[in-house]
Amino acid sequence: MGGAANGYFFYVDASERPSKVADLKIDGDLCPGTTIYFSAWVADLATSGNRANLNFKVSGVRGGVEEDISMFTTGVMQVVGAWSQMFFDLQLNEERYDEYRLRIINNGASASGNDFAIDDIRVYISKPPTMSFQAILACVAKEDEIVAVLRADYDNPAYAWSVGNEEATFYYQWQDEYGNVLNLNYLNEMTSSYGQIKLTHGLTIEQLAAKYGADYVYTSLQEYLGTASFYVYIYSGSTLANGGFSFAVYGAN
Amino acid sequence: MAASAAISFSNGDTVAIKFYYYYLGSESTVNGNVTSGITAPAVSTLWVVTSIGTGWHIKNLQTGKYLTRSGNSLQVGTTATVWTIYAGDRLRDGTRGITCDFSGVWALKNNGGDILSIDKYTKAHTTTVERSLVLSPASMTFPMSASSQEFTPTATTTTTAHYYYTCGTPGTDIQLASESTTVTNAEPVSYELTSSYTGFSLTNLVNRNATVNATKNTTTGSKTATLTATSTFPDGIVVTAQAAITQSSATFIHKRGASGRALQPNGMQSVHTLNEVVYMKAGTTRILGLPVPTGGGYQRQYYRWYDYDTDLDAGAALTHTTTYNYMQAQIGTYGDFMIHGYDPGITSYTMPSTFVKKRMAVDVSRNTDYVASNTFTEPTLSYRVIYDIRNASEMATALSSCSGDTFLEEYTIVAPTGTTISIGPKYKYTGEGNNYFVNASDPTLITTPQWKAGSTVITNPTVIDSRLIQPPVITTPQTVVYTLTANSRNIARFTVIYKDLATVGPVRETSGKAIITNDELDERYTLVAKRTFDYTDGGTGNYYPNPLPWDEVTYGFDYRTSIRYGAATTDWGEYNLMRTTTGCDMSGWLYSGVENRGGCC
Repeated sequence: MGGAANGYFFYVDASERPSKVADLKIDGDLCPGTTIYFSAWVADLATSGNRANLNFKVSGVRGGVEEDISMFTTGVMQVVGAWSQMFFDLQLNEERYDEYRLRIINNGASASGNDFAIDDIRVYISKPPTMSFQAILACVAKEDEIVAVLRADYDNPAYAWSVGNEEATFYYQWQDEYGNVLNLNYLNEMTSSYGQIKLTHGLTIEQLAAKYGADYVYTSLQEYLGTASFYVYIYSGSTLANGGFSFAVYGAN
Repeated sequence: MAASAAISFSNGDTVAIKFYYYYLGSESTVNGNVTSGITAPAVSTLWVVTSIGTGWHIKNLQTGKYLTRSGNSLQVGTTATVWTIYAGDRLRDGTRGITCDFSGVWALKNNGGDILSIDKYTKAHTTTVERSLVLSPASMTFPMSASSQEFTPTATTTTTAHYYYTCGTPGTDIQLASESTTVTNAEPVSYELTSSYTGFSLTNLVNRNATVNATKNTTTGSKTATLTATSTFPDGIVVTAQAAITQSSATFIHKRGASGRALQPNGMQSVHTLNEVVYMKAGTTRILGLPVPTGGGYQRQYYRWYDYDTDLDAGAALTHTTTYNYMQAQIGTYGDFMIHGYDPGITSYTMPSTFVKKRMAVDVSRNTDYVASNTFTEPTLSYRVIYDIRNASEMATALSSCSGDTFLEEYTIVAPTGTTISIGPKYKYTGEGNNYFVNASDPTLITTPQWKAGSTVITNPTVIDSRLIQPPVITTPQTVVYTLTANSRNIARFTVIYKDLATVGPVRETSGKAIITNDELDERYTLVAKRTFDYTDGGTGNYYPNPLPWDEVTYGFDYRTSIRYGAATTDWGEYNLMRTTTGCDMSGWLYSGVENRGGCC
């Protein structure tokens, strides 16, 4: 069961005219090209008359103009008097929108019957799969030897780190097993808590080094360029503590 | 004026001749005799004395006639009579003086000169300068609606020469003619608008003119302001002028309604709103359909049809098949009203012969919390429909390039297998509400629309609400492309991806699971948004008391309070937020046992 106990559901006594019933904002940030998953529950409540028939339309709003992206239709409801679940996925197009909306449209042909309830609408995106490798035990590693690699994969590499082949910036942070931020920004020697590296799709290692300086670029990044994966190499050093580490990518512009 | 104890005339003197309290004047005659007196000096009482030997001619300054004697009476005539002034104080003709017997009859008397006085007047003149700054109009009463008025200043300098006779100090003056010259000035004019009401503003200070703007007065009190113009004249004198401004009070009042939420920026009640696009040709009439046009749900509601852009009556542009005249005398300028009547009828809009982009609207309410007296305060609204009326040529132009593989509207739809689905374009494409036009220069409605499934024509499909068809049920997962064309133009393409009903639903929950549980969703994916409608500030009742955000729903909210007309339950075109259908007052037509997804009660 979803939602909070003793909460509410959205009950609609539909009008005769097929039209938009609700236009709910999807507050989460969605990246272009992302696959999103919708789960929602609907109950056809009318004891007689026409059955509910609903469209769930995903749209993006940009500059005040709402554009349709994709739609799921329940068709004429076959389950009555009980909750039934809808679950569908769609891949967002390559456009970036200011906000996204889930529009619920009454497709019913008559106001007779056509009473329905909606609840527990959830919107998900794929989790970036991560992989970790331990190259060598940290306690025995020599300085500058790779001890571990974390890799985050995205569903759609074209949009995971670059939009329209423009320059993208990633922010990253080192943490120990307790979530404490470590100042180990080996890639760019920054002293702030968050590291930063700018990557331009299609640039060679040499071009990146010329643009940002050699300290930003390691040959290991060659594994990253043109692929869907993000590698982070953890080097041993005098400040590297024993134990586990976590690495977080905080998004791309 | 001095008594004439020692009177001496000089040739050319201008004098006033007074007996007791009466001045001798040319008009103080009856049948030619001087018979009554004048108590104040005037031009007619001035006499010009001309030396004739030892005597004098006494000629009236105004008429040019002479003072004469006829027997014992004084007369004014055209023939000169010589009068004599002796060393004493008598004005005599021969041995006779003149006097008055207190009864208003002048008579001659030998010793009458004792009561005679002669005042000498001298001619003088002065010059005055008057500066004038006037605003036109001098006052303005704005209607309660938003409006503007331009005020034009006129600055003038008037120089006047005054001619008069004067006697003594301080002088007794007798005015003669004046000569005036007026010059119009063109110096800059500055303005100040003073009012405690912020709805007035001052703009367009162009060519010395000022424009006062008044926003719509939405209150029952009239508003006042003063426009002050200031100009410095060429001689350095600063002159001001004022215009009194008032604005009539409103007779129709918007209110926040039961939600208590703020009014819209334009002053209207904020409420759920359905925006309808209507394409029209100039000079045509179209129906503006209500969301619940037939059946019982439309009855006993409040309706107000109006021009959304002005928040006022649309005049003859809106017509109805039934009577809308509620409080016509008081609030007819705000729209066409019906309150808790029956069939709202059909409303149509007529576009003028030249197209004008317009927005018409109707406010609908099933609530009774209005206040009607000499003014009318609207009830809590249920919903508003705004009809965005656009030029049919826009649609025709858009459709003109839709051929080959280009469609005006593209839809990708995921649908469950084994289910009757409905598909249709954005607008109605047949009947009264047809919104699709071709031929931009002279738009005409599309004809002979044709549906296809792939390349197969769907013959005579049943069209629901002039917009939707229900293609044959597809039982196995596949993608089917449906198209709607008309007049060799591509209106809409529907790429319907049929997926197994068991994987996409709707699938009934069994033993806590239908397709995928929330725990499984959370494990596999990252949650970015959810709507559970599980508000915690709604008290313990079955219904949540507050509507969803206005822009998220187009249906009316049932507040579930006593403001409902006839204690009506949630009706067609309305919604509520409820915990359970079990035991609710709609159990007659709703299945019981459906509860909030997170648990209930």
